[in-house]
Amino acid sequence: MELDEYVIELQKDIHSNACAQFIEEYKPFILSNVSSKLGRYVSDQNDEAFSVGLSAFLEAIEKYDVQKGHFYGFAKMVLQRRVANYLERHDTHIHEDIDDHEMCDNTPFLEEQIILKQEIEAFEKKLQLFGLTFDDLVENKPMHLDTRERSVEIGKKTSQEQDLVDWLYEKRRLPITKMCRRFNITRKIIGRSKEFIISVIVVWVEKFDLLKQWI
Amino acid sequence: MQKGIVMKVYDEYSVVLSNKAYYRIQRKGTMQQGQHILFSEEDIIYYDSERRNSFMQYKKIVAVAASLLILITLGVVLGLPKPASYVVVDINPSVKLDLNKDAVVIGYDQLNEDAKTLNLKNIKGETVEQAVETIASEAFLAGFMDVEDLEDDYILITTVSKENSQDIQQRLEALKETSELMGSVNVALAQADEKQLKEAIKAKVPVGLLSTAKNGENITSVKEFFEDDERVLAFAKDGIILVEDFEHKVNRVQKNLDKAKLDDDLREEIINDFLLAKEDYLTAKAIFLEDKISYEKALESGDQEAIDKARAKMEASKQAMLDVELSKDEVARVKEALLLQLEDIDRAEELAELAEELREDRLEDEEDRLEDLLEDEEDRLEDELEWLEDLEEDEEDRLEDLREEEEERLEKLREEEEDRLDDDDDDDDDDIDDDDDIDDDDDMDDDDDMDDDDDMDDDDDMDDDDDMDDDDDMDDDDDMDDDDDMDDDDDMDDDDDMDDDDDMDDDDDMDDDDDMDDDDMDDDSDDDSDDDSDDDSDDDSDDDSDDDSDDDSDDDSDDDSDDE
Repeated sequence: MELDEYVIELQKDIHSNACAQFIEEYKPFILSNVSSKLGRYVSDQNDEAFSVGLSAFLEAIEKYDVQKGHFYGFAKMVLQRRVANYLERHDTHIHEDIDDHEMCDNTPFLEEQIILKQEIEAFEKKLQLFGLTFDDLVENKPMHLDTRERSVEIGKKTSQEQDLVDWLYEKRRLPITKMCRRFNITRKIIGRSKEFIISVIVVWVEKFDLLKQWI
Repeated sequence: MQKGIVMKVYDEYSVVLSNKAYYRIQRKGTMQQGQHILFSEEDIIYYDSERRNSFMQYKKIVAVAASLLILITLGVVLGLPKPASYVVVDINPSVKLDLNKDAVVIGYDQLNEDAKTLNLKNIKGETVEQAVETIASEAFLAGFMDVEDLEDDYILITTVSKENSQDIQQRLEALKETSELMGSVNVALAQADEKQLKEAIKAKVPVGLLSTAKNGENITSVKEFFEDDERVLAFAKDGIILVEDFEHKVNRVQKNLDKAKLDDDLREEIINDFLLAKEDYLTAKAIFLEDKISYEKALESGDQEAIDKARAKMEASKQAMLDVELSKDEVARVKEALLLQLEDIDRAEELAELAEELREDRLEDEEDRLEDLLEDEEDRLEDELEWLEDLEEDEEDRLEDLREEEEERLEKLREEEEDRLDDDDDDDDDDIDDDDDIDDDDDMDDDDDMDDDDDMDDDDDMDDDDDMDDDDDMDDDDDMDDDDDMDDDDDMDDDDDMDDDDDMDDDDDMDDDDDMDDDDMDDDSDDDSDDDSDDDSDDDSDDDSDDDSDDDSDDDSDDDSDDE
């Protein structure tokens, strides 16, 4: 199997760029294994579990041998075992961990978390004014990335125009005709992703700075 | 792999926001609003309308294909019983029926696209008659033939059998008599062998027509084939044509006659022709059929002479039929005329429909346009309203400005007025003040005046001036300064008076002094005396010199006494 041979090839120089790239490619694989073993989602910022997964994967590359079967299965086994070990250790030293790491490292982080949570709650309430829920946003999101980007642009521009924003907040719907005229775009572009554009405008008008990073 | 934040946690799933899009993902463990997470494509939940759908369809297709494959292999392995005979029914849909030796359907093939639209699921297990009727009625229901219109419909039934093809054909002929549907169409019966069947299926030609069509055009449709009378005759040589029940045909034509809106004269004529033709045709046909039957009988008997005789008779009746052809043509002519007429009607109807559609479209467009207009108008009105509001605001601002300006102007005017008034007043004051200033510098000592205490600086100054000047002057000034109200009095008063005032102003101290000096007396008298003395001293001192040490000393003493 090609993959197996490639891994053997990589073993020669574990610090090569190719190896780093290989790990990068397999990050989703690592992530899904780690999170399924953990029974929760992995946090995107300094989550110890994920680094455990990464080192386990590296270990798998190092120790792989054709006699151990396909690399895929082997790596999976190593990953799950290491994560299980980590969980055991983590459970016994949980107090230490809280004292040593989480409180110290994550304090600014926790604050941000609280602010973000508040922002999201406020955002949800504002969306309710327009009869929107997050579910609606999931269902009506524009599929293509470039459509989404264009919608975000339109939303940003609209949030700069006070009269349009007033109109939106008063009538609870987009001033499509005015927007078309002002930004010189067609009705179709707006019509397809109305809900998404409203949500963008709300984020910008209400100045949800932490949410802005994600839109 | 994507980064995201959890926006909302539901029982079944969570909504995350990631890279300008919202997704539903599976719940894993405890999740909190605002939590940063990493998730991969496999965590995302898609619903019907989303991308995963195509994948699901793909899966479905694969599943169906796999099961089909299994079925086919099973069929091949187990081996299906080989049919004893086949019957191919061609209307336009072509269906091949596999029959066992009892002429029961054990399988069927839909030979063309049209046939695949027919619902033939229940055909298995039926006898060949039932199956043929089912196919015919399905084709009728699906609109492949219309027994009511003017066009003749044909059903071609080809039997392929080694043993009992004759038997099957007879059964089908009998069907023609018993079935109403089969009675109302033309049924053509033909025979073929398996080789021909295979060839025909390969060429996608109705197998019964293969031999007839071989020497000419490529005919694929049964209806087309039988439109040509010559071909009908050619076919009749090998096969059997069971003509549509004449009663039905006449009714059919008559029904359409009624439908067609012909001129009364023309119509009557046509109907007459038609009826005549019908009769003739019926007679000729009857004779022909009779002859044919006797010919067949003769064939069966095997008697050569009888065969020849019967054949001759049949030839004759055929000739008679050919004669009637003229009247048959008449029927055809009526049919043609009717067809044309009907076409016109159809066309007119189509046109009417088209017009209606167009009208509806136009109405819809108009509605849309009006809606747009309304919306635009609404927008415009809104804009105008805004504009008016702006205008109003501007107007208000302008008015405010004006008012302010006006006020300012008024204020200015008032100020000017006041200034002017003040100026008038000030003219005097100024002079005096000027004097004062100058004097100030000059006279430092002249503060001695008893006015020191009571009077203000100005007064003092003025007093000083006075000192500089004559007493009288001083007095005058004093008067002036001592406020306007006093002026008159002062003016009227003499120096003494003034002194009096001074005295009075100078507190009682002076008086006290006086008092000390003199026993208590009447003020007046005292005053008088004081006045005198004072006057004297003052006069003296003043006379002596402006800046008098005596004065000072006097003052000092005064001051002292004051102090006391």
